[in-house]
Amino acid sequence: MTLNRQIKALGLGLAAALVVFLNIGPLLWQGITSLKLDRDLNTLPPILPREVTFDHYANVFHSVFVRFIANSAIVAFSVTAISLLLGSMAAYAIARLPIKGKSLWLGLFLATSMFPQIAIIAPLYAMIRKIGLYNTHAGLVLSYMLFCLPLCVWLLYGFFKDLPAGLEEAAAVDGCGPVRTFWQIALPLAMPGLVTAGLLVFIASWNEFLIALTLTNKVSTQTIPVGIALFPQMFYVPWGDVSAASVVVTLPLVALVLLFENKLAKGLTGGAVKG
Amino acid sequence: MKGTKKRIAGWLAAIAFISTVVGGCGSGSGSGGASPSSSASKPADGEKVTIRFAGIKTFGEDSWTELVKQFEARNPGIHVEVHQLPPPSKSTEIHQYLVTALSSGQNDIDVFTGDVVWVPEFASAGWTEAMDDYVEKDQYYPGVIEALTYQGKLAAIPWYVDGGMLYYRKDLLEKYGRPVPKTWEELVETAKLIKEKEQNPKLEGFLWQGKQAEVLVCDFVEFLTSAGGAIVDENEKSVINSPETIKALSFMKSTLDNGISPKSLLSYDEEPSRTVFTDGNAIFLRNWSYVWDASQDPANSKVAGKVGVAPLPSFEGGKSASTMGGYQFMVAKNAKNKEAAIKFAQFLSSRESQLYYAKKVAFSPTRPAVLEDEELRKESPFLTELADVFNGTVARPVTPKYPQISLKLQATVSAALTGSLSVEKAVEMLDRDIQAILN
Amino acid sequence: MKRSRRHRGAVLTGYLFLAPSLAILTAIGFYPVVRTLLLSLYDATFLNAPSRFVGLGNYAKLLDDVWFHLAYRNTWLFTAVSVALETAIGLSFAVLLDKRLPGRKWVRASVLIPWAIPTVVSASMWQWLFNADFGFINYALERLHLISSYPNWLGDRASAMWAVIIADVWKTTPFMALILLAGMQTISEDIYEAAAIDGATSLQRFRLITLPLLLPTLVTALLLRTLDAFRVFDLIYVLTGGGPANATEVLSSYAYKTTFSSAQVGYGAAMAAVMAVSVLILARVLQYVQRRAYGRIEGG
Repeated sequence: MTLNRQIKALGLGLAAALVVFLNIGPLLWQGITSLKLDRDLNTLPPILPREVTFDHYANVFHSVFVRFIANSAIVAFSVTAISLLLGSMAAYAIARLPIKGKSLWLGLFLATSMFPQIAIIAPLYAMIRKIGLYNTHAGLVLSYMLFCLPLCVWLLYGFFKDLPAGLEEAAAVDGCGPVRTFWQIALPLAMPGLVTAGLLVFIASWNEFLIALTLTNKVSTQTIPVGIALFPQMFYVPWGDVSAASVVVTLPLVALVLLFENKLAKGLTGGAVKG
Repeated sequence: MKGTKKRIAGWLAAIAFISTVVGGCGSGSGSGGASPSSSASKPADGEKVTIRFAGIKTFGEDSWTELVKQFEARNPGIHVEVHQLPPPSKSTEIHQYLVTALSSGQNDIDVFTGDVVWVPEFASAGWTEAMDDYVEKDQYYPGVIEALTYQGKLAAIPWYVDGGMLYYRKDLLEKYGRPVPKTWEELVETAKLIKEKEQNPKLEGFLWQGKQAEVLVCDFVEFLTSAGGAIVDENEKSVINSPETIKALSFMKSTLDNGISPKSLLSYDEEPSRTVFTDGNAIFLRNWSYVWDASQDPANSKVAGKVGVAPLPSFEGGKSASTMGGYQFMVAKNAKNKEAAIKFAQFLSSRESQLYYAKKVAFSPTRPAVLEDEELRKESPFLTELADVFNGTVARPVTPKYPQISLKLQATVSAALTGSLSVEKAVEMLDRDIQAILN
Repeated sequence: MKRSRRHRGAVLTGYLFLAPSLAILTAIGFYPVVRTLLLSLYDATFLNAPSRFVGLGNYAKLLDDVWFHLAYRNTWLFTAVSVALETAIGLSFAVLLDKRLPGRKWVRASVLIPWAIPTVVSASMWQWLFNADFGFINYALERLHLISSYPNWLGDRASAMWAVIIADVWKTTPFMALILLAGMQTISEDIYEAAAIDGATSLQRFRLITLPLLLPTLVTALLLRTLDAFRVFDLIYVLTGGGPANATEVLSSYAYKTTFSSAQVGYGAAMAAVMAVSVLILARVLQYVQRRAYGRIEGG
């Protein structure tokens, strides 16, 4: 019995180790590649660098890549702030305020998240050009609302729905109007939802590619994914530099994931599990 | 089944109806009229004029810094703002950038670099300024001027030309007493012989570029032209359905089937094929001029000093052909400060700027005079030796619809090489598709 | 009187709260979609040539375009295979993570990493891993004596799609696993305990309790992933660019090339429209299945 249990525990442990390996292995390989000298990139074995070099990181930090990182940060933070504000207002209205056609509104938000981006991109491009937001951070921020608003509304709707039923009544007795109730009572209560939604939105806009590729063409506004996709030199791909850049842009995300592991898992699943 | 089809048809008809009722939409996306507002603005005296230049990345982050600095020093009234485009290996992205920027009519760029194959497209769209009055044509190779002329007007200022050429292992050919092959048949024979004698399983016979990308079209055009075939004739009619095309395509496929070329070259563009060659693992390589420098640098090449370069072979009775590549300078039709923009383009195409690029990255100059530089002759002798190759290059189909034709060629030639289409079927399809595009 | 004024105020606030989001989504979502549908009826190009109404001409052209047919088939193939694999592997991850493991928090965090990495980064990562000559995968397979010569994963028509699918499965399985895990954790312990008393083996418990009760979650996760997979773009664009021989070209990438590289805006719009309609139908079918799944739980 105990032996059986030990074998079982060992099996579980091995399985867990395998899962971890499969998940971080490719990233690890990227990390190893980023420390190799250029001339060692074309030989295998050895797996580990013969000689560790930080040149690739130096290259990354002494290039326009720094600009890409700044652009991504500006866009992702703005998108997060704006979509949280607008999304929580809309979600609150649908979940708690006495408006008509609630399921229609919710359905509309969900519908936009199902559109294939390719069906939107050409007219969106024409429009963004026309209103002069081509090659601007603002153009990207506005366009990212396309997938960030539905995400926020969808997640926060669940949180607001779960608040106690008599909340507004009680607030009204204390003389709170609907705006103040939302701002001072409901929003703080939905804080866990806001954190989760914020994280998801941040990661989604940090990683977005198709829209950024189409709406920007200058280093001054291009984001990281576009920068990486267009990294190659005249005729070759500098794999060492690409690896270093990948590690650099992935680390903040890994840190976020490790810090907020619990909240992220809940946020990813919250809406889906409730259905 | 029939019911659903009918319903879908009805649905589409409904959409069509709505669209006619709603109307509009006629101007198409993104191609709104040009905004002439600012193009007339002339700078006041003493004020700095800014021109926007979109240039490809050629050798690093600051491909243009030095030339721009020189230009600004000589023209204190002009400031050049550089937008770095991706390198030529990302030509699809560069093309997209230019098309979107130029079609918007919002004059984002004044001077830009573009692939020689885009010249007809841009010129026929009315995006480029005619350069006839600003270029001393007799200073350039006539072939280049001809390639940049569309409907009687010079649409670009020449920068550099490139062409496909044959790199070979001098040492191996000498060891087995074989001449540099003049025909494809001879090349196959020599490669077979050396492979057999060397007994090195890693040694490949002949490398070219089979990846589904623009470079595949370039390779294809070389094989095709050297068999005496063509894609489009001078009346913009498809002539691709010919025994010559079948011969060329069959030959490309046969190098893969008979082991002269590795199957892996189906994912090779320029650089992967170059690496295998400079690692000493191939006898012959078709590539552009940049490989010369790369192969002579002992730090990165195991075959430094053992490499020769020659014009590409042809089929028995055919003529060697090399696809014309290279980027050129163009001035946007609605450039804000046209005068300054033209001045800058002229500077970039000048003898000294071309010399700078020839020395820096061995770009083949479009002015014969550049090759008279002693230092350059010593450093890159092949630029002089192969001047004939560079200037006898063949153009890819000259038509504004080239990008569409290229996409079809990439997909269909790739399909024939991987065997998902028979050679005959592929050629038939190409003929139909290209004819449809040109109509 | 006072109550109704308050009510009116709340209604007004509600619409005001809703307005900005709806306005934005109308402008950047609904309007462009309608515009794409309209554009698909014109032979619009980016070139300055005026466009002409061609009715269903672009759609007729699609019927004749073998590369479009291939892209359409590839999209379905990619979606079906990768979602099936993600579900199977995701389910086994979830079962494992549901167990009491040493360092479970860390295992769970590691699962989140592929999900958080930008697709463009993971695509270039896999490009390097699959590199025919210097890639880790060929090296490892050779050392394990599974292959004798190095296959060219991304350059071979037969294997390129598999390479793309593997990269996608790696990146999106975590999403599946976490949703399923959360679903499992809502199943009450009591049911398992009762079953254990009845002498059910763990396999029986999984088959008779976990799986049926997990079904609604599973279907929801399938819905989300399927719609996502059908729209795949970044991964293909960076990893293979659609090649070789268009073996990995999907609807999004083909429509993008048509619209932006060869500047056939109207024709590209027709492709996008066909894709949008396909997504719509797919979503309806999956929602129907989803409702049935919930119905079964509530009914039984």
